Amino acid sequence: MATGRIGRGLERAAGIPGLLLLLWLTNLLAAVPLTLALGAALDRSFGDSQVAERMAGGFDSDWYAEHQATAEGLAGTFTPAISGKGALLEVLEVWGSGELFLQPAEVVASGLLYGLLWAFLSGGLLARLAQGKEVSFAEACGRYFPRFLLLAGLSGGLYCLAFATVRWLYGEIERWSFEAAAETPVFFAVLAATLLGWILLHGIRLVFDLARVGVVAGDRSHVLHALGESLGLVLRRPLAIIGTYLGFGIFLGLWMTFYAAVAPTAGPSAGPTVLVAFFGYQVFHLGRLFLRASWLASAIELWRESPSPRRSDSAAS
Amino acid sequence: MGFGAHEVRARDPAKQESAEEASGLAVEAPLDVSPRNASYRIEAALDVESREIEGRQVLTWRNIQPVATDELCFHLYWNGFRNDHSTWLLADRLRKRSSIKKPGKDDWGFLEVEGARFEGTDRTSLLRYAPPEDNPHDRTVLILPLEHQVEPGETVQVELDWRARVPHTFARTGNRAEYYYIAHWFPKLGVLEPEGWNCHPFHANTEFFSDFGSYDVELTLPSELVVGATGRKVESSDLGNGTTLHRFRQDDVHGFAWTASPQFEVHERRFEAHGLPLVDMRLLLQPEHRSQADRLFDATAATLEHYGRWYGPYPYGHLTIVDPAYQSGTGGMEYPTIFTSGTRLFNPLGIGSPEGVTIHEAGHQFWYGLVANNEFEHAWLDEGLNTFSTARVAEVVYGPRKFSRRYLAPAGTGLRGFLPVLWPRIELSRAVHGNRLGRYLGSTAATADPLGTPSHRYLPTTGTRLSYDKTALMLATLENHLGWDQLQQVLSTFFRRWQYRHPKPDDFFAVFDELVEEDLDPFFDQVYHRSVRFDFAVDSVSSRPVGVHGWVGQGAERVYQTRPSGEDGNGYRTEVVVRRHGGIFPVDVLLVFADGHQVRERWNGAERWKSFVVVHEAKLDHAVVDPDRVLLFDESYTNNSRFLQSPTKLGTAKWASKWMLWLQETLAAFTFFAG
Repeated sequence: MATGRIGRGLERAAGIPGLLLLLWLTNLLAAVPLTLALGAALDRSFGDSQVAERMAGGFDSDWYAEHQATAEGLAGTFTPAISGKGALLEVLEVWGSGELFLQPAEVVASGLLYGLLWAFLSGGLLARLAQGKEVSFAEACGRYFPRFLLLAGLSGGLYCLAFATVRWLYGEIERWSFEAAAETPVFFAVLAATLLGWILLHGIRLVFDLARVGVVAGDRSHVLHALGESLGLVLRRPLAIIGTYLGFGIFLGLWMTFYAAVAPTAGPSAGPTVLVAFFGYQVFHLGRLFLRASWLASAIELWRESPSPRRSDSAAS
Repeated sequence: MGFGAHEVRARDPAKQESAEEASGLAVEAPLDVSPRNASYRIEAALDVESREIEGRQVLTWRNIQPVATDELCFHLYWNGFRNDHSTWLLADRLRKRSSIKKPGKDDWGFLEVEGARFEGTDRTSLLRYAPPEDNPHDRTVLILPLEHQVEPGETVQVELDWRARVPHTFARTGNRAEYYYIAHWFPKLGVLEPEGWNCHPFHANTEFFSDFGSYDVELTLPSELVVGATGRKVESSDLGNGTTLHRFRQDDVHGFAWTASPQFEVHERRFEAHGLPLVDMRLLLQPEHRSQADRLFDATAATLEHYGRWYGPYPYGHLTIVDPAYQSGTGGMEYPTIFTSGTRLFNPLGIGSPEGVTIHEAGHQFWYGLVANNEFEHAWLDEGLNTFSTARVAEVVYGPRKFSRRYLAPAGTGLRGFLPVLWPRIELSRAVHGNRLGRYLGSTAATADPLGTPSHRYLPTTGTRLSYDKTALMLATLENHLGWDQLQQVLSTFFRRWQYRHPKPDDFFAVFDELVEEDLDPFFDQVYHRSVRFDFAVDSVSSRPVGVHGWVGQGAERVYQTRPSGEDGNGYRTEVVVRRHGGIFPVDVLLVFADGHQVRERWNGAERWKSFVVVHEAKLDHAVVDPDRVLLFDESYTNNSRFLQSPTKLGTAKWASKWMLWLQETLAAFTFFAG
């Protein structure tokens, strides 16, 4: 049952708190250099003026009008929309539209580097989830990295196809809606296309996640074999696999909704409020890492529950 | 205090005289009715299959100018959408926001005069187009030579037969599916001025200019269409062949527009406010916006009330609000006694829509509809005055707008996001956001053409920023400087004096000269005649203990004094240096001391810098130049204040940390693609 598998996945992930903290810390530290740069830019802009006080007490939208008119690059990404629930919404919007890569060069470069780092760490994470403490985390990271990199490259191509499909759909909706008198059908068409895009993206991720599991838990040395097996697994047990993935998706959705509801936006702040907001997000992020790890643990179980007709090709490596 | 002495470009008194003469009427006497010198009787029938309108019109024109003319000059606006060689399309391309990206055969429209009779004589063969020198292909101006001169005061009649093809929407007129918004659609007479005909080719940067008259229009349309138009419907008869004849009449207007759609829901409400005439409001609503009907009515009523009290009452007794079809591209457009608003499926309160656009277009009934400036040449006179007034009504009635974003925007298309999200604690001020300072600063308008440049000659990408934003900022600055009571007096005098007339810029400035004691010419010179930028800044602040450090006295009495501590009861000598980096404007300088004591001084802003020295028992806390933000053109208000001690870094920490969470989230999004 998917629920049991989800429960065991959560349990397994709860057993690697140190590793989750490491992954969280990686994310936090990766964000520090650009944050310092942005903070310095804001500080220069506020100077010794009253704006500094107003920004401490809330948000000075008059200053923002000046900032918006002149800011470029990294500083141009600063908008009050990044506060509170906006941090999630802004990222979801650019992620879903494939415009994540159209952001300022500093952000994209950081994102790509962090993505590479994540691909590196994923091998260790999966190995630890699959084999427990007897495996060396660092050794596993290095061992699986080339294959994970290849998988990332292959998935990148498919993601591009998914985004192209969604954009093509959007274009068709725009053409179709050229004569539309009412917004309602256009809204639902765009919503449907967006959901389709999300399904495609998650479908690709699901197959590639299982392939990564195959590389680690099944010790597959050929990524294409791993991919083929993971696709076969999805086709053989669609309900179990999609049900489990969807279950974690629901957990994640609820977790994000909860965060969006409680995240502070632009109100008056004292030092402690700023700290609470900061740590609140870190807890949210840690929670998300926990869900991700839980899903991967469940995926390992799924893989093991459904042995492939193929033999392990580890001997070939 | 007035403005500092500097070069002032005097306005040409002869020009003002000509403006008064051009009206043919004494400016002192407000008009109760318009001159009604260009009246139309139009019969038009729409064939929905071919999207063609066949029309016949009788124009009755009285020459109210002191000069005779031997020709009539007509605008054929829809020929701006005839092909890609029209002046309108060429200019639209330069604006980088073309109405239709790649028009197909079905998208184009046209307007052709097929017959012309002057006083019963056929003059069709004499018709000729009058293209501008730089574009021989343009057909938006048509000349009809007359048999004889029309003398001052003489009235003539001209009959025209014409045929028009309804374009897919260009310039907020046209058709989409079963929805029609039909404006500037018939051969429309230009305006005769003492210098000759004022009849510009249609240009993407500009709108319209016509004389006032009475309109009597019969529209034959498919019976299933719900119709709205300029004026009151006086007749509606089913012709029995699937079509219905709708007849509308209106006096004292300078245009006629109509709309038709089978989807419209009709809602009605009466505007009543003490001391103002009743107005029957008729709302033609898209069914999906039923829940927003009250908001559209409320915003229209707020406009009628506030504009009515501030400037002058709306005299027509009825007003039609059109909620345009979603993709029609006709939203936010004004015509006499009818306007298009525009809203979205999801529009939470506080987002500013549809209230903002509704107030703006309803407001055009006053600035454009009643005070009918030449929009080809001085678009700022209606757009700018109206943008300023829109922001004022919105603030008075609704309070500050809230920051918002629309999500679910389909990437790579022109479709805007569907799902709005509000940040209720982030308020957008009228002064800066209502008057669009950010957009103005974000464009190149500040260094582009002076506002006084004829509108059709503005750099195309800056036209809106100048006509709308710069004028609104100019008026809001004057409101801050003079006070609302005085500005309101100026605007209401201008309104009453030029209702039913065609004012020119000098007529506007003349009212300031007349009613405002202070000489505002230096200000207008900088913001209207020239493109001067403004920036005041607090350059430095210091508070040092009073007393001498060093040798004092002479000879045997010479003593060495150590640095005073400031705690010896002599207090502190505070010095604040303020600089002017741009244009001249009188400003206040406020010094706030640590004990709460305040000193406010006035500076005429004429010098490049000025030092303010105050001896007070406490140290300075901070200094602000222009603390009330009177001068909205100040391009960097952030540098207008400075603390003696660096202020808290909490603001930086708070917002950098919020941004960090966004960045962490963004980085996490990249991992989706990596594993």
